[in-house]
Amino acid sequence: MIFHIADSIIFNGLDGTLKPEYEVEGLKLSLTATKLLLVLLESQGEVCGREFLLSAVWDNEGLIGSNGNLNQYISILRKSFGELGLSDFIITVPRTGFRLNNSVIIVREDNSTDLKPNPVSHFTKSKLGIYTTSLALVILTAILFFYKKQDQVKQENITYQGCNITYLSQYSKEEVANLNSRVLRILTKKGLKCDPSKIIYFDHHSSVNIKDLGRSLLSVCQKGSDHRVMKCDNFYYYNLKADG
Amino acid sequence: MKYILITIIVLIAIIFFFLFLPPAIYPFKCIAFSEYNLLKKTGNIKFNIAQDLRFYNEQNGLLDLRGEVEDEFGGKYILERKITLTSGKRIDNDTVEYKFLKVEKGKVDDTSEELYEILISEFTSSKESLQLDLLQLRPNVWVIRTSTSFLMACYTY
Repeated sequence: MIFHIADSIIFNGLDGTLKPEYEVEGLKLSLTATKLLLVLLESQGEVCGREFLLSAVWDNEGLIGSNGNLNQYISILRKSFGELGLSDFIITVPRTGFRLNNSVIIVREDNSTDLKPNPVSHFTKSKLGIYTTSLALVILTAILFFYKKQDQVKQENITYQGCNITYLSQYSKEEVANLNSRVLRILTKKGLKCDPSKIIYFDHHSSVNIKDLGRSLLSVCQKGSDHRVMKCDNFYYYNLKADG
Repeated sequence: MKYILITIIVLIAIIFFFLFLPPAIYPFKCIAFSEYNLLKKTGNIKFNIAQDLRFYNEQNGLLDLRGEVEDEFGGKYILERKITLTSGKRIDNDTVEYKFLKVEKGKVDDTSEELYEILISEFTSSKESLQLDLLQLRPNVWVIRTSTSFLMACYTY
């Protein structure tokens, strides 16, 4: 961030340079002095207590500061501004702290990008966060979606003599071979022919094995021109073998 | 830090949504035609009926049965029953349960209660309530399952 102070000085808070407007050369502040000046500039003329400054400039950076350090760096800043022709910029508030002179006009450039030290890394960091977040959400959603799908019917599609049959339960190969012929017999008996517009579902439910009597369901759903199902006919058998 | 916080909040929301909120199915209106062949000790009883199953919301629904019945002695009857469902609840993601509020018999319905009971016992083992699993096979095709077996495939409208 860049601050234009009193229309005559430019302070770059990113690299700590303090220089006259329209000049290339200037002063280079230390990290601590830069941080201290930034805190004062951010306060927008409000009084900054000593404790607040010590905390913001030293404690938060993992350093140990003291009133002596604070006075020393305030003095450095005053001297630096003095060399650039701006005196009385930092005012001491007795027994409280410091504030900037409200009569000095300070303009902040928030959108300056040319002087940012490492815009690429900043960009990458924020993008990385977004990508990580998105990836985590996609993975979790997929896992939960799959988890939910476990509740749905496990459909097994078999093509037998040109008939596409969907079984709603899991059967062995032998059972499927037996059921295929049963399904075709029922369809023939009912005068129904297999074609791509029909979806055929079948299930047989019995207690021990499929040769026992139990409940069978054969459903023939007819697709319309838009491939959506428009009709379902069911043939349900109880205590009859599936072939009737 | 900001992204971690957002991620955690969104993840919690997704988990809650998927695990604790059942998927929206209402209103569920499904039609199917069925031929029920029910072999009893005395012979085969055949029901050829159109079924309109409607769950208007989690509490209320309707099961409409219309068609004809042929008993084991060759007698043919007309079936026309409208079963109003109430006090419904979602048991889990797939399963709904409703209580029978009333069964209205159509004017032309001449099916005996005994035959009707044989049919309705395939839908439910209870005289007071109906518990069905609703399982989606395709975008507008569902299969209805009772506690004993799959009952019918129907298409939603």
